Amino acid sequence: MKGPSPKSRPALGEVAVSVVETAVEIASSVAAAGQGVFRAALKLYRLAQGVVAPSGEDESMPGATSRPARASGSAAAASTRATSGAIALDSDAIEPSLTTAHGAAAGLPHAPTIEPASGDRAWPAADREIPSTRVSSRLDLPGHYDLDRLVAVPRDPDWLFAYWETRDATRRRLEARLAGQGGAPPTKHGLRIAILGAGGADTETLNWTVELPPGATSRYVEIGRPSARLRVSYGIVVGAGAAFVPLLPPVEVNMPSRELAPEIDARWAQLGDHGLAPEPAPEQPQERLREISERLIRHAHGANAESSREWPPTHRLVEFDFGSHASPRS
Amino acid sequence: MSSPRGYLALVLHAHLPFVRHPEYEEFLEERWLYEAITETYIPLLTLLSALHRDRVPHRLTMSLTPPLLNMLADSLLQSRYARHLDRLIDFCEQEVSRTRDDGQFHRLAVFYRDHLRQIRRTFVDVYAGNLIPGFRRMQDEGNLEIIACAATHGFLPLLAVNEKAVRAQVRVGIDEYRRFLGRDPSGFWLPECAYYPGVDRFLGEAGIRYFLIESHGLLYATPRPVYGLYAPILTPSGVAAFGRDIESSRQVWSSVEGYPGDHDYRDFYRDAGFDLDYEHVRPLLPPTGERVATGIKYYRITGKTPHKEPYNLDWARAKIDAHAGNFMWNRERQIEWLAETMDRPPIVVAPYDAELFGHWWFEGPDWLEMLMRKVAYDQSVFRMTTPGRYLEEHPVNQVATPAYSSWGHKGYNEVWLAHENDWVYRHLHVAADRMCELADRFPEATGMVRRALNQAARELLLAQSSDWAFIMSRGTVVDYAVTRTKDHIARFTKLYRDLLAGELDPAWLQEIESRDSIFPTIDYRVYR
Repeated sequence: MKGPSPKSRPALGEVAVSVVETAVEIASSVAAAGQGVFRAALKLYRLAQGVVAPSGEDESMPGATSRPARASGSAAAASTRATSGAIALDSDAIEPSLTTAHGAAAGLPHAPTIEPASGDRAWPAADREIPSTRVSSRLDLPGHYDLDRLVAVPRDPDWLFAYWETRDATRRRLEARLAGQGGAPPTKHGLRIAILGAGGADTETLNWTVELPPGATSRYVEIGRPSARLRVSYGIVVGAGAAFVPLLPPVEVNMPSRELAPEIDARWAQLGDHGLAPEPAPEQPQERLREISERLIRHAHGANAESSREWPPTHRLVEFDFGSHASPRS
Repeated sequence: MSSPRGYLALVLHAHLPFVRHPEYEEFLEERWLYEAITETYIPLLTLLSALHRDRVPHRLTMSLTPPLLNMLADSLLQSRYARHLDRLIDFCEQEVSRTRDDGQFHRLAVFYRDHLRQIRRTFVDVYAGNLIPGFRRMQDEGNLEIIACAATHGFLPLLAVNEKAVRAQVRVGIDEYRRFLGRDPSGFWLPECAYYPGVDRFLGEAGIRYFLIESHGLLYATPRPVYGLYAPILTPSGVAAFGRDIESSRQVWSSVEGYPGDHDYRDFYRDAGFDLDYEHVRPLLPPTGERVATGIKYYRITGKTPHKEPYNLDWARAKIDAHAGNFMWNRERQIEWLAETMDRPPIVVAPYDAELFGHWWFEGPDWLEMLMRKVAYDQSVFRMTTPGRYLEEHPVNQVATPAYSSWGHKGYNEVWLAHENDWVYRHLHVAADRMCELADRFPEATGMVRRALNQAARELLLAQSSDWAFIMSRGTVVDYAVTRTKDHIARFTKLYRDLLAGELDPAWLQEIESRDSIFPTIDYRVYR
């Protein structure tokens, strides 16, 4: 079938020459214009996406492309930083790429973030690698900030992420204290995780220590207890794991829920000028409200399971034959 | 229409990260904006104008994020977009000539040429290069409800280590909304629908009446929501939360069941930029000469096959009509069932990324327009509404606290907290603490000190953009995302040190003010 002319691509060498010529041309014009401008090779990409079920089931789809391989060398990697006094800024090191562009999809940075169900094809399906904008910052961020700090946040109902930093002085003080007590210099550090009691109680119902590899500054920890309230500490593991000596004040973390709340103790209000103004409940007995709630929630969950559907399964186009319906109004 | 049995609220979230590089004559990532303007924002304005002109009853909710608003209003980006559009139109003229002996492709070439000419007329003649007044006018007419969003779309649960940082994201976002749209917002789009218990307090303090959350954020609320997803809850802070309906989302998002995957719709990936002769498309390519997508696409999805057939406009239009009717019919059945179960009219909330319509799904805007026309005239079960209007009509709601959640993959923080991107947070958290320290140390700054403090606030907010962590997690333009993060943190850090040392660099400050020019009226004291 006739169509657009077959594509012809420049050979890699032609691209390289083209880039060099462009860079030289730009360097000349940059010097002349007194402006800092630098050409870059550009990267196109695509993003995968999918649908998230309310139960948090993993319905992910493979989709994100792997990173394009870095081109070896660059034709005009030298900065065309102007000599006439333009301000040197941090990320002006942009190098042209010699990666051959053999097809890519331009796309916005955010493909739809809701993902298809497991088994669905990635949508939209990509069949190409993607060339790349090669930019690099001239800057490295500090490895530490000379702080005493522990931060812990949930990643999801089951996993916690923590990072920490301690001042040298803090560690030296602890070491001196331990030495004064006749202890050996600490060699291990760790995170102590404590599960706190329900209802805001401060008692620990369970705790354990996660030993950390030397030099670790962050960690993902599997908690496995959605809705748990945690106390997380960072410190030194002394002896054969027998004692944990905190280096930093602990932090409390509430793990997210992954289930329906047990109670339906509905309170009703409307927004007034001074916050919520209580309102009487609908004239329904509590049991009727629970029944309504369970039916609606079951339906919502059942949107992912055919068997729970309580009205005709109309959402599948293949099952809906427009020919058998005069119009949506009939 | 007699009293409807329920309501449908379509919500479109329009967002792009702030990308503006005056230091380069062209920068590829700026094309994100050009593509979205051509394929989504102008088509949305066009369809809203047509519905208004034809007096079709309709309601739509949209968020326009501050980075997007700032870019749409930027004269440099406006002129670059116009230049980009002119190149596309010139190319289409050549395509019309090239395909004159090929009926199928010629018709498409003519379509693209005429379509882009109309886009240009709309952009230049109707809106004088600035689309924001168009959206504002639609809101003033009463059918469009525009809601606010966080300043740079920061992923708030992971910024909440310093809650002043969260408050600043909310307040700057709302200030920008007021600056561009001339009124207070009633609703708020939490970036990535990411909710953590307590974030609503900042929304309530800022006068927000409602926000949207992911399905399980509402279903797992405490206590259990009586009406499931089909009525809002009121948080203890006095802000209503509406949950995303799963059923209506699947019909559009799902690659198996969703409309956009229909074989007669335009294929996203077969693009003239890759298909056609290199020298022929060269004028559309970046200066470095690499092939990129142009938006001129000649093929339809066809099937699960690498072979693609030419795109057929008539077939696509027939499917648009069928799919709009199908979506409406499904909502009728859904709302009828819900209304029988509930003792109040249900609301089905269907949020989507705005860019799905037109960019990812070329036929999307036409589908939206067809849907709204059909809903207005072809059924009587439900009416379209906005969350704000539903609250006005149904002010009494159950009090409950939503659950920690997001609409990202797996429903929580994983996309933005992964091995690829977790390194950013210690820097973001320290920078937020330092910004608060600066705001307290300089309570009444003036002159260059004030400029430096305001710029520090901008750099922090730009570093907090959730887009960078998202991109790193997805492994796409990672270098660019890493560079943006590092550069903004580094610029902030230099400003911090210079301010504490009392040694500002005026030329450097001026340069970064001109580059990172978002939020021109920001007041650093939002961090006090």
